Amino acid sequence: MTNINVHALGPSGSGKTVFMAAMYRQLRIKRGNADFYLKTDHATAVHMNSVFNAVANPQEEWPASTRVPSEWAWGLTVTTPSGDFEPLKVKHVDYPGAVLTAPRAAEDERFQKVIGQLKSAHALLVLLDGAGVLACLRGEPQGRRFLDFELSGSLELVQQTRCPVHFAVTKWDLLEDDHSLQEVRDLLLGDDNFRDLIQGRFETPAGPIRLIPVSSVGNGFAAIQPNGQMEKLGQPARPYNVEVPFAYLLHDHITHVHAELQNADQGLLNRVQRHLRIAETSDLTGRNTGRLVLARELTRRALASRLAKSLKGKNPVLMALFSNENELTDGLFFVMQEISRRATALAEKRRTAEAATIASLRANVHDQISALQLAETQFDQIRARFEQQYPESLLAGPQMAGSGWEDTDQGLLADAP
Amino acid sequence: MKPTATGAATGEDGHAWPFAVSRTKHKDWRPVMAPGHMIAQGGEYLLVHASDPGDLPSPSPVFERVVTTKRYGDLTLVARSLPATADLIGGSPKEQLLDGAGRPIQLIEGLVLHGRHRDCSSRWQDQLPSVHTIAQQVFPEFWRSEDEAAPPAPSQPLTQPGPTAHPGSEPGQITDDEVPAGSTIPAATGRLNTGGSGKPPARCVLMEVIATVVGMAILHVLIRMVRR
Repeated sequence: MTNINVHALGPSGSGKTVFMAAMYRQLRIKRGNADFYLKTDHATAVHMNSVFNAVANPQEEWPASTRVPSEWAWGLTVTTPSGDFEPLKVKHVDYPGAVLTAPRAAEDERFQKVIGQLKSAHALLVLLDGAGVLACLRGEPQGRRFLDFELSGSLELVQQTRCPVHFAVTKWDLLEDDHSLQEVRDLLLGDDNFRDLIQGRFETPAGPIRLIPVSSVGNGFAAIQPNGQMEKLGQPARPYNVEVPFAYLLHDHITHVHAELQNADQGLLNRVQRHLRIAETSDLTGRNTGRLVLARELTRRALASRLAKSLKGKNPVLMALFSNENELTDGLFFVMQEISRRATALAEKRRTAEAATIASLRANVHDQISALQLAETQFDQIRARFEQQYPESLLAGPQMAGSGWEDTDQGLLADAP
Repeated sequence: MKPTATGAATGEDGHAWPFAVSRTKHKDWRPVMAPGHMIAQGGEYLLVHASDPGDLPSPSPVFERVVTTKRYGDLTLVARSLPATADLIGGSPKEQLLDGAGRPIQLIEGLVLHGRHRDCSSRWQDQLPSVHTIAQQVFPEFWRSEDEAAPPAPSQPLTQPGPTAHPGSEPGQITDDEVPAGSTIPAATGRLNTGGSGKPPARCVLMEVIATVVGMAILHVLIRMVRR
């Protein structure tokens, strides 16, 4: 099983807790043709559901602000005819926003632990408070506070990491009627700190950076009153796009791991690639399963120790993702297969090949790796739908082989105002 | 009893420091007031998560919490949670204070003692109205300030009312072996350390006058005896 630590960055009121509760709400049930859902322990489920219910109930007040750090974990469960697999576990820390904004909070041991967890995340999602963004667009004083102060703690933390990052504009329901994502993009890239941070991340192997509009409650649920308070309007809560950041999670993780491995030992990767080419065909049919298992075993015996030593010396953070050499080899194979699949999918104009690929994958799921491949292919569909709807969401997209960005000419800073 | 670096007490619960935690429109959870020595050491933020009332309703009953900390050892908190209402800032007690996102603000106020003192809430909870009075004094400035780096207001310890462990002393009086070095202990109604010295109780003044008069009378008698 792959364990990934994914955390949200944002000051108080940006929507960290509610966003996670809405995301869990959305993904705890299999939707449409998806073969996956999120599973968690009972205490976490009760907490997440109670947070969301407090949000969704028009008779209840908004949930209280988080004051104590807590950790949550979800398992990605893939259901197939041959059984259920849980190939991915995601850990997340929820915390009071003061961790990022109050200098004296940094002296607290418990908060220091949270900062450490945020800095060592495998992926980060920066939550941009939609109410703050709206205030900026309207030229209101609190908009200035949002850009100059509330955002700065998050940007500073992002600067200190190498992991994949995306930005989510929360409370998008407040903005959608009057403002476009392009406007928000231009606003943010007009801020020196934001623009320079994005520019600096071009050089890291963390992959593209997206701006994702999300709403934990949906359109027409709440409105900002003249006194600045959010009032519930009595409509049912219908979150949207809350699953999109999760859909990028695995994709980004693979891209990041691949890039870091390339930096660590390209020669070893080439040898792994050769083993893979011997074993598989582009459609990953069941005939090659045995050969794939054999190739993986050979790689494990021949290369795992050396790769582990190499990674440990050059990238201990990456090494920490794999608890033993077996996981390392499996993870490595998965990464290489996924990179190969992306390149193939691009060449075959992915959408027409997708349905056949998914059906084939579903029929041949036999272990956690193949279950992860099936889930990732379906996440790919979610990403494709989102990117088609919001092509302007790309903030920065370094051209990386197999990343799927070779055919895009959008999002580079050249077109920033 | 001076708070030590480990915060360990000798088992006496004769001193308790008022504290309060809350938030404002723009500032997240933080101490409104805290023991002066904790502020000086930069350790006051632990009161924020140590005093979490959890699933208790607001207003809550008085709750007691024992926490073990690296910096102060064991701490015992006696606290309660109540809605932060506008009377704290000169408005109506019927108006709930809200943060910038429209969420109701709570005020957690109480007393923190060094060491483990289980079931001490029965002895200290009568002091909570005094704590609230102190919190009311400092909350307006807490509410107004947008300075994220501003420290909370420092509090000084209250002594436990009722019979003391030192015979011959009056309730609320200070004896030398009770006073932490460099601090002042206010009377039983409690106050913040404002830097000025308070007036001694009237009873003390009277006794000093009587003692002086008696002493002078004895001296007068002795002098007359010597002259004879």
